[in-house]
Amino acid sequence: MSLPDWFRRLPWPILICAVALMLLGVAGIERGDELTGLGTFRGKQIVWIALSLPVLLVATIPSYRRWKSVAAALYVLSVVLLVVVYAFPPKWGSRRWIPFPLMNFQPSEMAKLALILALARYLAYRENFRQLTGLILPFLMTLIPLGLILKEPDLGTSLLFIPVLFSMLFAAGAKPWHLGLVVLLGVLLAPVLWLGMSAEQQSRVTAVFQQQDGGEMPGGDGYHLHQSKLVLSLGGVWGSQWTGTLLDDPLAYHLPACRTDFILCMVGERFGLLGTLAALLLYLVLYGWGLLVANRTREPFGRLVAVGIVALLAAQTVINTAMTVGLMPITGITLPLMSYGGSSLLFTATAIGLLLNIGLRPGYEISANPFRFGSRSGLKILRSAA
Amino acid sequence: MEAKATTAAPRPVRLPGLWRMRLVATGLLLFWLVLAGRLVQLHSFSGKQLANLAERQRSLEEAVPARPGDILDRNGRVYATSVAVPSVYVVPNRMSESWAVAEQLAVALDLDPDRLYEQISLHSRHQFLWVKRRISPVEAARVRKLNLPETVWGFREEFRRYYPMGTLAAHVVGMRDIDGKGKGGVEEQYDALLRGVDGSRQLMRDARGRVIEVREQAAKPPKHGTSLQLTIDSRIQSQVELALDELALKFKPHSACAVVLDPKTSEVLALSSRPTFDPNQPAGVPDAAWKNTALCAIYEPGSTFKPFIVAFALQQGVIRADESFNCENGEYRMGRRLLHDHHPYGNLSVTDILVKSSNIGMAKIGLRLQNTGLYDAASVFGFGAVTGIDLPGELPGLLRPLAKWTSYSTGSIPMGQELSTTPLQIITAYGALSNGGQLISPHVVLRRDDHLLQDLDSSSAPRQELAGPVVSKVIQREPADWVRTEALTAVIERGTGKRARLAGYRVFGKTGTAQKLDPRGGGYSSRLHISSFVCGAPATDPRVLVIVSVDEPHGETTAATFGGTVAAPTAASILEKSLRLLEVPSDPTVTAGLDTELEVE
Repeated sequence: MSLPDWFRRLPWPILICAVALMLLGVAGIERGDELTGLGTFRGKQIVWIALSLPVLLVATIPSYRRWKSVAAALYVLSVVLLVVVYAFPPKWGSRRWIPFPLMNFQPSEMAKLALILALARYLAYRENFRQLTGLILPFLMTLIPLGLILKEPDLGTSLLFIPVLFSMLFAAGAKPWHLGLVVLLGVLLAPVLWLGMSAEQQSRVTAVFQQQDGGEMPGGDGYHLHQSKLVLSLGGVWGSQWTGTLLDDPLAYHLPACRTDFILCMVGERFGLLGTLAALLLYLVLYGWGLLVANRTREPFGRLVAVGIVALLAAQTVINTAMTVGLMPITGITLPLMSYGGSSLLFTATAIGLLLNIGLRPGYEISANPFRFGSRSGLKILRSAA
Repeated sequence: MEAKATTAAPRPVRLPGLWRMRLVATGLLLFWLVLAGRLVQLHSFSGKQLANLAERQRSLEEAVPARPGDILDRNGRVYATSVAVPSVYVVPNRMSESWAVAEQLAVALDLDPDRLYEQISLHSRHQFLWVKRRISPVEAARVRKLNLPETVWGFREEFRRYYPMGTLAAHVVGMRDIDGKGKGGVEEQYDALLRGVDGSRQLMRDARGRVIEVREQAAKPPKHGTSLQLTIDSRIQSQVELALDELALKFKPHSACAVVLDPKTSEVLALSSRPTFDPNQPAGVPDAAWKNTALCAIYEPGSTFKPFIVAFALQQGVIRADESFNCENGEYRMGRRLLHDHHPYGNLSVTDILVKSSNIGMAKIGLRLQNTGLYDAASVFGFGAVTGIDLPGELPGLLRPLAKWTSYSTGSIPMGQELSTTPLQIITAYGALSNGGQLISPHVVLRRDDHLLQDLDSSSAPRQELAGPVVSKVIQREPADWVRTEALTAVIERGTGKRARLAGYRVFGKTGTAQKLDPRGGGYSSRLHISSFVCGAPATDPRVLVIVSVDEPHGETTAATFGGTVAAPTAASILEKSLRLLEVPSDPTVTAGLDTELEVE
């Protein structure tokens, strides 16, 4: 693809929204640094963004179709890595990381993308999922990594796989009442799931139902949720950035994990209700445009991958925001593009890059010279195309 | 967006399954509406209440410590006082680099940085943690120089207790621990009165945690502690301390104690115990030193108990003062028991039974009283029950119930065996012999010293009223006076207490040498004694009583560890100095004889 083509066809709103959200996240992290007085994560996050943006751009260059041939292998590899994780000692009470010299690698991040690619590859040219029995294999493909991640334990991440699977099946054409049947089955199994939850997870669920706005300061998970809502509302409509109103007591701002899972609170404190609504709007445009890309893509694999990516990121956004405002139990899950964290940002950037990639190639491909595509340097391709 | 999607498609053909994409998009939109709605709701509805909460959080209540009352002696000398000094605390839940803070503070305050860091980590969810309390001005200056963020640490004024007299009367005064709680002595006994009640005040803080306003109207002033004046006379107390130090050096006892009592009021003029401690330096004090021996060392009183039996027998009329008893030449079979005297005596008068401390003579008086009479004698003089002194840790001794007594008891009790007492019980009972027959509970606090309270709200100060001493008439004046002025003065003039004779005062007294149980087992030990001596003067109208009790004195011979040798000279020197300090008029006709030949008890 030539460079002018790239500029002309690129779904710019997705890229713009993504970069804007990253910058909003940095502003939130900066506020978190100030409020906690604990370390300078802002600088580190800027470095991670500087690393992620090239990754995002490079991911747009080789046609997404090349992923189709490696999807199965990637899926198997990620399942193997999810097993390998158990060989390493637990960190902060769970086995999520494989330690590498420079950073800890989190196989579940890779598994998310691998599952989307593998499901898309499987569903793309098939019709058997229109029968109930045909649903068994896609569900199995999802439940294997889901189970492994759930066992780490990482409830939050494993939850993301379900909306991904359902959206992709639905977009591929599975019969709604089949999916409805599976949902019903899940609802009926809820009491069993509840009993299978740890006491900590149960307390997080009950904390959602025991919210109150006045009275005594609650303890435990209720306290965390209480502080989250307090910090969100402390920004008012306009935010402390513009009005400059600060509470005198730093304890009012005490919010654990304020730069990772509760980054939205920092944005709300700094830019107020308008800030959080702006963030939501940016996400909405990003995901809406993502669905538009899926809509325009007539090549089935591409469409399904686009739907999968949108479903994954949207689910993550909904779950994180909902827990921040007290509509869902608190699960340790980051807000895509905004939360502090290198590996999560890298994988999200790759996913967005893939989405852009699909947007660049809506249903047809300007077949490039196979030699060029064999080249490893994306920049080289761009230059020769230009 | 949906419309756009269809128009933007390369061909305006309705692709299969497009409605599915629309449904997904609609679902997404719905989620977003819910989330946005909730955000708006949080601001418009909850914002107010949450802001109220935040308002509460920024005004903090801070405790204002009450100043503990002073402790003075009867002449106004200060035994314990409090000085405001800073203490350092940190706010663990606001700390970012706890290790750096811990390390710097530890270096400035001479603490172990690892221990401090561990403490801060352990309390990381808390708002308050003491780092070091009651620090010196040098340390305070070093901490200020660190320039740590003001939100994570601070000074709080606390009162540091000083004991200007050091070890003097340490067992009476006691001490106050790091949390301001009384431990031992008057500090513990009158803790509530001395400590007062902490107040509080409301502080407004700015975003950096600095105090910007003190709300005086919301303040609750502290109720400072009441000062107490002791019955202790420092002049006598220091003589007692010197005398005990000398005694401890000479006889190297296990423990020793001395009490000086005013028999008319049972005010304790001096009380000292060895080993002792310095309340200014409570660290590293051996456990034995905390023990107030005068109140909690229990032992068989031995001969010092004999006068009570004689006085009670006289009052009951079972013996007469001019009667004499056959002391059987030193060997007397009483039932199956063979009693011995140290020297064989023939007929002895009642006075001589006490002067020679004849066990056989006492046993015969015991036979007259019988067990019931002996039990009454012991219990009216307060044995087997606490004296009620206003000091913590007093033991009641042991007086077995009458039902457990045997025919052995009839011989043992009159010579001060088969029951155990504390030195304080003995001197209190001698008080009854000295003041015409009244047993008065001894006490160490003379009065509340309220001058400190004058400019404060004294009406709401904590009430821990001083109870007056318990006074009970236990014996008639005549037998008590007779035993004191006739028998017990003879003990000093020609008996076992010769070493306590004083020029200018007629002294009365009684030695006691109680055998200890042999630690190797098998009954009483012939080497280990508790030697004691009680004396008082002037015999006609006693003003001062002294008891000295020495546990396991070590001497060259066994006789050199008896009460007359070990305790009597010390007690006599204390008695003499007390009489002179109290300016008790002396009687020039009384001379201290030069004959100091030791009479064996």
